Amino acid sequence: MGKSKIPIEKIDDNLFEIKPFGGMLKPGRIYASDEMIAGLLEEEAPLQQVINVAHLPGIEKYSLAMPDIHWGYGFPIGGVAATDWKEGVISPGGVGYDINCGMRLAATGLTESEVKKRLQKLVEELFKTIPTGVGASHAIKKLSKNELKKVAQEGVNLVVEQGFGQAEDIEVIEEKGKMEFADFSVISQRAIERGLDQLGTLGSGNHFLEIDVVDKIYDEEKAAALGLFQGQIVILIHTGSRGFGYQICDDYLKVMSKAAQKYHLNLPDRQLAAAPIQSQEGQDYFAAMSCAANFAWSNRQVIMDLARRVFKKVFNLSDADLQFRLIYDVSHNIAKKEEHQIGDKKKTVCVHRKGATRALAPNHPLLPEKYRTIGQPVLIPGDMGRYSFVCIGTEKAMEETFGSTCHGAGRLLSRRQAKKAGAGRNLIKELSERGVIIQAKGMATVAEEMPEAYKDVQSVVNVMHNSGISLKVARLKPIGVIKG
Amino acid sequence: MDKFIPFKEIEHTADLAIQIFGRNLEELFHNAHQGFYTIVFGNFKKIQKMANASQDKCPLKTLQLEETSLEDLLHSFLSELNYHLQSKRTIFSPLLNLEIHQTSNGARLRINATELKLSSQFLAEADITEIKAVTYHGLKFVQENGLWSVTVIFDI
Repeated sequence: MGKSKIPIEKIDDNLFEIKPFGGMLKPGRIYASDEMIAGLLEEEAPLQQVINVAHLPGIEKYSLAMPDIHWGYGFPIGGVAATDWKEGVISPGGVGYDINCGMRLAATGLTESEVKKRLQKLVEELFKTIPTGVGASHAIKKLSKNELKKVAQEGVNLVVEQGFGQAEDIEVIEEKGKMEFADFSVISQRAIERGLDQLGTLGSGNHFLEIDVVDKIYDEEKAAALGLFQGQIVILIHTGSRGFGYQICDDYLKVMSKAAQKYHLNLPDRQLAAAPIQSQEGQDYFAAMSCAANFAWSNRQVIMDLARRVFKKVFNLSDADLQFRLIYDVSHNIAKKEEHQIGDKKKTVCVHRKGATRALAPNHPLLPEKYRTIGQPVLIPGDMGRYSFVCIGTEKAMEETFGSTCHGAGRLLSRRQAKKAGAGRNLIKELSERGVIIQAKGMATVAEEMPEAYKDVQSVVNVMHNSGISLKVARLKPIGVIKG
Repeated sequence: MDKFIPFKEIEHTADLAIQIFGRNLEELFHNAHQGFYTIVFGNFKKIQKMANASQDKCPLKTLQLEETSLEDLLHSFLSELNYHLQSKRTIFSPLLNLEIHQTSNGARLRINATELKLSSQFLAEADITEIKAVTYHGLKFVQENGLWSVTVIFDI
């Protein structure tokens, strides 16, 4: 396979395997098309990271990569690894700086034709209401340390009690918006300071809030079960734990770097720094990461409810008329304690999903009752000019990928290349001509995030659909975007 | 004679990276400071001008950091700048009396700097790149022909 020295074998149309060599404890498995794997073999670095992850003590079955794999810090983005809960390690590099960065999809009862007339006003009001970028004033009052502690330990419950959304939203959030292991006592003062005024803020970079239209339905039955219909207006939110999570990751990379030496872990990359899950360092990281995860779910809850209020105001509708409701919220940067079938045994493992989305099969006990028969909704964002996808988890995902699938498109151009490509162009006008109204804090962000800077997310989603890991249910087309 | 380049942006698909140079370690840290604010604000001169204009009204802070290696020291220094920007909305500029000492246990930095509070208006209007964190990836000091260099990747 090309000039690369990485020994890779094709298992089937969309799956490749690197057999263990050197210090690899398990094989590497990459879900990709022939074209994608050719590109990866040329680049090599992301595949080397798949190999590196296979060195983690306690790793079970495979070091996995989804088709949106690209180079990351320690783990590749699009990487999944499960480690034995008793004997294995936990690594902040397997989660990333933006802990519980994730997606949230909310439905309205409105249709495209009803929204189109007031779309410009809607985007403007959303942009005014939801803080974006660095230093934006907070939409809700700055938290006290005690309130931040409650958010970090109790998850979305606090913000729902404060009137951001409905109690029934909690049922359709991964983990019901609360990781039980969260312990605020292991959070640094710096992380606390960075979290106090960031709840309800979108951030910058690739984070966004989109107004989308359901423009294609692939599976009528499942779409109906999710409450989706052709022409419907939905809201898609992409953000995470903001400065609170970034600081926690940074703090624990230092802790884990020392722990890796203390426990004599032979790791091929400093950013794979890890500690045994059962060690004090491992437990503390898991508790701190859980706090950041709870913050992120609360952040998306607040942002969604701010959007609901804007919709009501712009269209002068009651809640009953707007029919606004959360469809699902799922993380794509997280480590979770989960039960999985390994050989003939059920084992408790720590599943690291870094740029990968949980995709539970139908009848899984962790699914909300209303989705029990169809499987877990999976939300895969694309770029702001084309489309995003709603998919559903399968039994095959449980068997092959620890119930995980892809998370997005992946960049094609660097930010610098994108800015160069956008120089002298009126990108806002270009997007408007494609039917997308965008409002962003900076023009640099619009250029960096323009559609051609990203790969076509459809090719990524198709690999997982054709593999039977996550199946397409609906396609969403953006018509309004706000960004930092 | 070639013009000395304090830092240059390196191509990186997902994030931002800069290669920083210095004829000595103090100069490299000065240039890292300049590179960081250039990445964040897009224009260091504008920031420098604003800081110079307000210098008399701002407190002078002393920053002391000690780490087990030069790489960790630079990581801490840049993380410090980022923390103050993100959390306190302040920038450290200009830098005065920057001293680096390499010790048997690692390296130490001592610096005096004016801490300037950014106004709400400036923050609302400026096109600022948010840096999530300074990463350790590929962070390695190199000294060749009397010139120090290091590449830093910022997760954005």
